[in-house]
Amino acid sequence: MKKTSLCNDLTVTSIILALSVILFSTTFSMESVAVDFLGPSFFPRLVSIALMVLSGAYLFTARKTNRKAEEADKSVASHKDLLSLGLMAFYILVLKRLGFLIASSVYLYFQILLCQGKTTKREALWNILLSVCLSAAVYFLFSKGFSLILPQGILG
Amino acid sequence: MFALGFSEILNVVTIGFIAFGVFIGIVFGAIPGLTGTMAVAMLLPLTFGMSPVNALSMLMGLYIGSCSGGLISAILLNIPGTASSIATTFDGHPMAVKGQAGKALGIGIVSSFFGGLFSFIALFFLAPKIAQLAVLCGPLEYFGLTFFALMLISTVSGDKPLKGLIAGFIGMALSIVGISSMDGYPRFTFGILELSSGLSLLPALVGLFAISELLKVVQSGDKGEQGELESYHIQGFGFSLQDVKGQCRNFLQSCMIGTVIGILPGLGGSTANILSYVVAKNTSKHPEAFGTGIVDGIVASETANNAAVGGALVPLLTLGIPGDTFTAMLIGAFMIHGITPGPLLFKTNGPLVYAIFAALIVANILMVVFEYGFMRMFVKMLNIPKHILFPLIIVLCVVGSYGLNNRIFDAWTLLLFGIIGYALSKTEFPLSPVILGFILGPMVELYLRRGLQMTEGNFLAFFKNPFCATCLLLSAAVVAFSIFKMNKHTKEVS
Repeated sequence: MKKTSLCNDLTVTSIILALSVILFSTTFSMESVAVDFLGPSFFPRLVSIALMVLSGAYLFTARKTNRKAEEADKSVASHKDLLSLGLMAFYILVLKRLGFLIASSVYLYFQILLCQGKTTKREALWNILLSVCLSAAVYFLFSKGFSLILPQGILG
Repeated sequence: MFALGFSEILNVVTIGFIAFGVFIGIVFGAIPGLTGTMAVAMLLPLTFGMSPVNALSMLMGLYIGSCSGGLISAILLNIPGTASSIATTFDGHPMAVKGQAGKALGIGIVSSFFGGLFSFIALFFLAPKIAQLAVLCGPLEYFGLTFFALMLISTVSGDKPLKGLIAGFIGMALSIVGISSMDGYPRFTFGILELSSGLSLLPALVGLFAISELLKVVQSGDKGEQGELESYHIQGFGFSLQDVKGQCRNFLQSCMIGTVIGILPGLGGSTANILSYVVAKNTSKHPEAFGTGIVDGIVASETANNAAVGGALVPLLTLGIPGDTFTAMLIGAFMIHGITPGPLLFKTNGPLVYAIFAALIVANILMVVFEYGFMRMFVKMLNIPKHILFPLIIVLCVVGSYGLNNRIFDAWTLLLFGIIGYALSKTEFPLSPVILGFILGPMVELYLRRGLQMTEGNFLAFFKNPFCATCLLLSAAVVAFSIFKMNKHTKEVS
């Protein structure tokens, strides 16, 4: 396994281990009137212990075995992925305020641009038209066809 | 009972929805990079306003279409449209190269049809019996069964069993959020009102599977997997009876493998087609001919992957345990319509269950009609620009999550699970155990706590119950075998 892959692997497993420790400690502050051990904190405690043991075991074995093994590196996150996640977060953030039509058109345009890479002026114009038309089609299909209430935002 | 099922679906609207589902399923199955899971994520919002019969019938069409559609690109492009068609490329494409693409497609379509039909008959006879037995089970038996399912899917769905187990427990940890169903106490809600009812299943499913998969393909865009399209010509069925002479044993064997693999949680069509191909090769009188473009390979692969469809529905309908990722998404569809799959489904929603059986048969027939009738159109659709399709699917996923309860919170849940899925898949953690842990977590907790309450906190009672003890023993055996296999592999590599 290459260095970056091993590093990502260990980072994610360490985060899981840390979260399971937090989960375990939080179970002691859970509300409960049950006097025996079978209260609402019983199962979360069990799960967090299992997660701690498993992720600890994985960290131990991964360090040992990955020094020997060599595998292809598949784990590097690309800018495109992270930008797509950012775009999605932005889309959800403005969905209610701007409304479905505007937010979706803007999101679709930038996401298509991101997937397509370099575009000519003509393609960019075509993408704008496509984004607006697709958003409108989805909006009318769901709001009129399937009676789903979608956010109207500033157009409402 | 079958008549009752058919009476529920034999109307223009339902048949129309099934046909729509089959068509979209074939398109998503045929285009490499798109999956049936994405298709169901995309179409789930459409089902909000439908009756349960229409919604589930359409999704059954989607299931069958997406499972079978993979053969088109497997044969013509040498790229499997879905993981269920990997083994189809081994002999399908060499046949296409030899100028027998029409024959390969024809045999693939007909094998898919009969494989599916066999598994639906098995489903029809097996499911009610299993449901009757399941009703008799108590918390100890259920705990054993759900725990076994979780261990099985966690250890077999990836190369590293430890990662699978961690993923399964992550899913269980996420399922704890919300008010405890047994005693009404809030857990990990952090005072956020929306978290009281827990993290919604649908955005979680769509986020984990569809968003993380989409993010992966966004990276490759239109420059992803590409292959040279072979020309084809189909006349009639594309093959003669002489071509499939002597395939009876291969067909029956593949049907059995597909159905049994489908029943086991976490395996599904992707394992069934390869296993069936290997068995067909090993039991053949001419194993050396496999891979050179022979009919046997296509029959084995395409029969088994469609036979896995009916198999995967057995644990879903009878026990509420999904057999693969698609059936996990189907649980979301059931829940949208206030239906809980499980042993009581046959009693509480009998007509719906038989309508699903009938829809499967109709969808199977429509799959054959569409694949023969619109093959040219499906082949043209292999060139759909993905840089437009993927963003549109993401918008539809957001619509589906938002439309569930008309709240933005569910769209954030979608994104959260998308990020979790993306991070886990980037570090090669399997995703299926996460979702199975999320679905089975509340069941495991309920049966474990009920069992312990019943036995006054006696853990040994779980080992004294024969069924539960067998399940726990099998779970331990599965985990031990997987760790042994992993250690052996590591030693070989080093």
